[in-house]
Amino acid sequence: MAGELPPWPEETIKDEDWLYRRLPPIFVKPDGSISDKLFMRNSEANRNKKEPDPDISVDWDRYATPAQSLEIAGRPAHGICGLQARFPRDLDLTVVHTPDRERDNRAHASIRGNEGPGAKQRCFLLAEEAGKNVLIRPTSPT
Amino acid sequence: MSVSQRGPAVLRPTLKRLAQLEALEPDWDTYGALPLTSTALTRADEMARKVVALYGGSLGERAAPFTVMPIADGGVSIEWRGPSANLELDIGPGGELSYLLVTQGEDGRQFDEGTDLPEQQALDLVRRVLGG
Repeated sequence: MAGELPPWPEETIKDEDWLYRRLPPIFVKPDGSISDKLFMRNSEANRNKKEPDPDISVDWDRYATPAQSLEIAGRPAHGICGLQARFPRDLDLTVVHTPDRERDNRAHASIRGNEGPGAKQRCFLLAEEAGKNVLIRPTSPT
Repeated sequence: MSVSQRGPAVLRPTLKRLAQLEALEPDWDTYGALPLTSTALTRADEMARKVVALYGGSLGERAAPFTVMPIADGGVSIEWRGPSANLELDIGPGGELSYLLVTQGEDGRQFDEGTDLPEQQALDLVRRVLGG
């Protein structure tokens, strides 16, 4: 069973490394740009706050290709967009490797710290940058 | 149904979109997103209709939202675009209002955001953005 396996080590993600995030087709705007709601996640920790999620899930390119990152979710109509780790770090966010043994995802990483003043702006900037790096385009309108 | 398809012609794409969002199932974003709440959908419908009712007479189709987006916590976001600014009005799962205003000025792009926005201030923001 996966739960009985030892945890993967948390490794250091370099600034030039790529982070992948799945892109639901519904987040593509009429002009082709990406909605910043892509980075406003739900989470238990954030359930009652009125601000973006401080912990955004992504996949690190050391252990996943864009195709693999998409495949793990089983939604082939969705897309994949990418950010280099330095981009969120330049916004004073933290990027850490958070391998997920339970879901058998060694590539899992987290962009952390997007809370408080400026959080929506950072979501906007993350989405704008991710929109420049759509690696797999969503293929259906919903 | 929280969202009626009956309304002004300029709002038809918005109402169609809200109906589409209403049908989203749990985990629609593959990261555990929640279905949108009827409170958020209803408030989005109301806000879009109020803006058209208040400003549609002078602004016509410009009063219609540019787009409507789901939020993973069960909320809804309405975006209006004007000549020099864009406004995203976020409606939380409980109906609370917050916003991101992006203004393009001579000094470059400026961002303003806030939470716990009273409805009248939200409507005033929309009017400012639309230039009405």
